[in-house]
Amino acid sequence: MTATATSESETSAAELAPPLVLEDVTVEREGKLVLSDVSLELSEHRIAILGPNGSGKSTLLRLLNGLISPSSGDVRVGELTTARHARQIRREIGFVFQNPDNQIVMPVVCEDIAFGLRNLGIRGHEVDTRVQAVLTNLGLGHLYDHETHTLSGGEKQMLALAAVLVMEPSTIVLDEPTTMLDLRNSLRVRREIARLQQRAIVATHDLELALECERAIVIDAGKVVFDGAPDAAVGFHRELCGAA
Amino acid sequence: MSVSASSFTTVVPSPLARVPAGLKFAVLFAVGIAIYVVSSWPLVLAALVLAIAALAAAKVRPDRLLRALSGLLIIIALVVVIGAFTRGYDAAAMYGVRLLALCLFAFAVTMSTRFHQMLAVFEKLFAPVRWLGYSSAQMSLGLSMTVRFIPEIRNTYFEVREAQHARGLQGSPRAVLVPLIARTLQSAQEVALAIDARCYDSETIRGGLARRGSVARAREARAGSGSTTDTVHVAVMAALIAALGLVPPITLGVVPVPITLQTLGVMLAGALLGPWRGMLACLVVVVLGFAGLPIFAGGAGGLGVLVGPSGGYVVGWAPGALVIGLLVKYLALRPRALWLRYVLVTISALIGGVGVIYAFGIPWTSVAGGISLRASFIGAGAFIPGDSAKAVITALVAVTIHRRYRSLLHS
Repeated sequence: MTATATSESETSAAELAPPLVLEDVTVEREGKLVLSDVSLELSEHRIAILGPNGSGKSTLLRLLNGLISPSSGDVRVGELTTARHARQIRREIGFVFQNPDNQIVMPVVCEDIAFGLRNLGIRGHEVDTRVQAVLTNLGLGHLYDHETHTLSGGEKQMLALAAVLVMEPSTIVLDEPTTMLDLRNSLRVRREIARLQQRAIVATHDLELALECERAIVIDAGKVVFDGAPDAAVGFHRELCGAA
Repeated sequence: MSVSASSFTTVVPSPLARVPAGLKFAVLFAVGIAIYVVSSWPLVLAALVLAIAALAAAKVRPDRLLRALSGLLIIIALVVVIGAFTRGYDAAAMYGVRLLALCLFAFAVTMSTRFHQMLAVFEKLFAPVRWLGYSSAQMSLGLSMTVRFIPEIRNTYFEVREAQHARGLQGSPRAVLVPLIARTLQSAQEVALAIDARCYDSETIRGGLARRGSVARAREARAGSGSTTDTVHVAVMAALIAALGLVPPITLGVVPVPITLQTLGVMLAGALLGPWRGMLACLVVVVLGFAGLPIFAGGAGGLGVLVGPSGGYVVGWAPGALVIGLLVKYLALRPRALWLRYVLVTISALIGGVGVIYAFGIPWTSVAGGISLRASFIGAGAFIPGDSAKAVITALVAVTIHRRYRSLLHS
């Protein structure tokens, strides 16, 4: 594999995207603190977010593209803040949800991928060209006119990824992309994440996926409890969960 | 039975297929009005000749025609027999031929029109829903999403039913419907987020409205019902109505005949989502069904359902759900006493789901079938026990769901 060669050329692409900055971010939901005083600067090519269920991982991810707004503090992408420029930021930051069933909106594969493009105001031939290109790139060309409800779990997750990739965001946020998959499909999704030119921020319970990143952040009870090299983070996370 | 977009793309190339869908629909509509307003043999026979010509021009395969006709012929025979007793043989024969001509013509139109073309016609017809704060772009997103969710909700129904069987709760519709709806509403929340995450922005898509500037936008803001979550709620509820028409009919101890669950879905739409979204969910199902998706109870679909004797019952869904929604939202859930809420929601569901829907259905059957209002009324009586049971189920489910999701009616 030419992993090293590609990752060098990819890193330069990721460097072009402005870093994501969280500044003293606190999120309160129904009187409960979901995240408290989180400050982070996310600029690496691959970043893993680890933490037990209910630790605040998903909330942190949803903050990054303005799906939710912080109760206090700021989330910035370059010059823009999610509180005021959520729409522009969503064009830059794609989001792959944990359960692809909730992300697929259209009855047919090609229509579902085209949905995001049409939302960007793209019309005509370009839509189909880009849909075909992204399907071919992910090895899904044969699914073009398949009905979405007939796809397998792994195919649905790949479709969810394709539907976000086709919009060409500069950062892709993935919420536990391999949790619902068997080993073969989770390897396939991991391989695609490794190939991404864009910056990828992945919340995961898949420790092997975390080890493939450049940086790993561990969250527990709404706080950042570790931030650094993935192998150390994985050790820390194991200890945190009482598995060490 | 599988509901899928692809099973409707099998339109044979034919002269009639090249005629614009809107024109075909307009002619069907005009013929339908004409032969009911002017009941004369020459006109009815002319309509029959036109229908047969349309079938030929649509190159409908005889085996498909026969399959579609088998159910229809029974209904027409029934209409003729009842008509013969009440109005004499000559009139009865004319009513039979009239109904046959219209249904054949509707069948020819449905068979020669691609699903999405017919859908486009209905989208135009229902453009006035923008006064409720819904753009046509939202309506078409709602329509597509409904098609996508029907198989999923149907599968979830069977999954939940299996789980409840395992717990020994097979006789309780509430034990199946409450988890099914709770799961559906939960995923609706996530689906709405995912749509927003993919840059769905109703304002930029609503080209037409945005161009009209701030007045239109101010109205939308006031209507306050145009958010993505609302669109998803409408779509999943429409999918639920369709899915309930496709699951096997259930038998309840108290009612001797098996009842289909489709009108239960209609009652639930109003009782769960309130008047406007409930009504829209019904409209979505009706539009998809008339456009050709086989989602009416037992797998019927197409314009034949509209022009047939039971068309009024389907047309009555949307106003029925509207009335149920109004009653439930502003009256039935007010009392503190839980039992009183059950009673009031049941009554609301009866008023909208039986009173309003029958008010459309009974005269429609009378006109379309050429039978007296009285006969049509007596015929409808057979469905009252089943529909009353559905009103009770609606109350059991809706009151429980509203206790869990308190903001559902007020989004």
